[in-house]
Amino acid sequence: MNKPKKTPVQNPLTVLRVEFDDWAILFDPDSAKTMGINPTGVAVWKLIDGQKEIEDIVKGVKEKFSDVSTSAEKEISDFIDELYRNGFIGYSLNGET
Amino acid sequence: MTNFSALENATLPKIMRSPKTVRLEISSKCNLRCLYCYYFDNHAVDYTNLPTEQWLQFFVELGNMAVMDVSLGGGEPFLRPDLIDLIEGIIQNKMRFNIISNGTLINDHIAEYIAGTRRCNYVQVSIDGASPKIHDSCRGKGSFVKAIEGIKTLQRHDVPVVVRVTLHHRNVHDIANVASFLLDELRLSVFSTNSAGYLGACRKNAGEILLTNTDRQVAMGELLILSQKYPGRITALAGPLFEAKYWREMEVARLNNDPAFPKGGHLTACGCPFGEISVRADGMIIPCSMLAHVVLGRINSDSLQEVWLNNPELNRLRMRQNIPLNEFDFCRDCDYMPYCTGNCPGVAFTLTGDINHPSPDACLRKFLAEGGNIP
Repeated sequence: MNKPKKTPVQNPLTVLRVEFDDWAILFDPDSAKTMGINPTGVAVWKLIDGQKEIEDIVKGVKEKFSDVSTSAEKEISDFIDELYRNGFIGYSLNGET
Repeated sequence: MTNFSALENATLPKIMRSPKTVRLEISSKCNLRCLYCYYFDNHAVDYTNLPTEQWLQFFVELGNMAVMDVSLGGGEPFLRPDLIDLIEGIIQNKMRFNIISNGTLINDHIAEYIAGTRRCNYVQVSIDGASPKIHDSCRGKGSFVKAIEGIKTLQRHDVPVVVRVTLHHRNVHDIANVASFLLDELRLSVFSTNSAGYLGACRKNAGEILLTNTDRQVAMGELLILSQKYPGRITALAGPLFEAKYWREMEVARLNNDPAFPKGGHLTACGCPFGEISVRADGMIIPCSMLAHVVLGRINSDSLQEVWLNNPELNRLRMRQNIPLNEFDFCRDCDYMPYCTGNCPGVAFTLTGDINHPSPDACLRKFLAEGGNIP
């Protein structure tokens, strides 16, 4: 039996506020929490659609940026966890496969 | 308006794609007539109120622009019978809000509602004294008791409350009492201070309301002492406390012949046009309430995004930071010039008729020449 896969889902309240040079702020108006994110983070955020699993998101980032580091998968996974800890996303469990 | 060679080749600094904060004068009416009010008696302003639906339509645009906060002021926001409808519009469009109020109309019903929204950063209430005698002297009989009741009502419902103390000729000797009253008795975590400025209704009452040089000296000394007694609990972005701290830094720099401060020597004081914009009660978009005559457009007719990014008048205001102080006769031969930022363009305009001029009201050299001392 495989572990159920986690699919990140945007908190519908979260606002993406693009500021300078594609850097942005994520903002939760209920908690007033904010988080500054770089252009890669913005790309990750936009790929979080409630359908893609983390490996799909990593693939999407690699397609968008040419100079993605070898540690990208872990960095993106850590970033998504940080989004979760701050309440900007949740996870849906896809059930057992 | 003066032309400056420095503006000819200057480039516009980077600006955010949309303002973080939008300040809305949602009410052009007020139940008080404070003697130093900056809002009323401005000939450039049409004191009418937009209907609810026009504000709600505008809030959709603000939400689409990812504006984070709206500040509800005026006039007195709690006079709007549709205040809850307006706040609902703010919430639906994923923003937070604060309210700037005289505090006299706050009741349990509205305080409970505000607390329940979880979107209120704070309600700011103006308190000018520790007793009715001082507070009411500028704000009208009975206003102190009602304002304090308003603060207590907000506290009872766990709504964040901040207090603004505006210093003027009639309360300058009550500062220690105000601090003790607000911080010890009402147990507020913090209060902010400024001083009455030569704007709006204050202009016709200036002689009896504005701080004299002696008053300013008293206020600066007193506030520095109180800041030590209540560390971090008395704040200021303008007025005597701010000046006391900033002028000290300027004097030390001058004595050491230090290089210019990073923003010194130019008209850099006003950062507002880089992060926020305002709307008058009649729907006119303006840079700030202190510059209510500078109309940039009209909500729901002009795109706020377009105004924010491309309005020539607003961009001229942003370019003001390129104007060197040494271009002004007013600043000639001033040793403090490398450390001075020129201060508020709104007060500069009312005093000199020119936005692009240093504000004489906040001039350290002038203060010293008129007998003042740096505390």
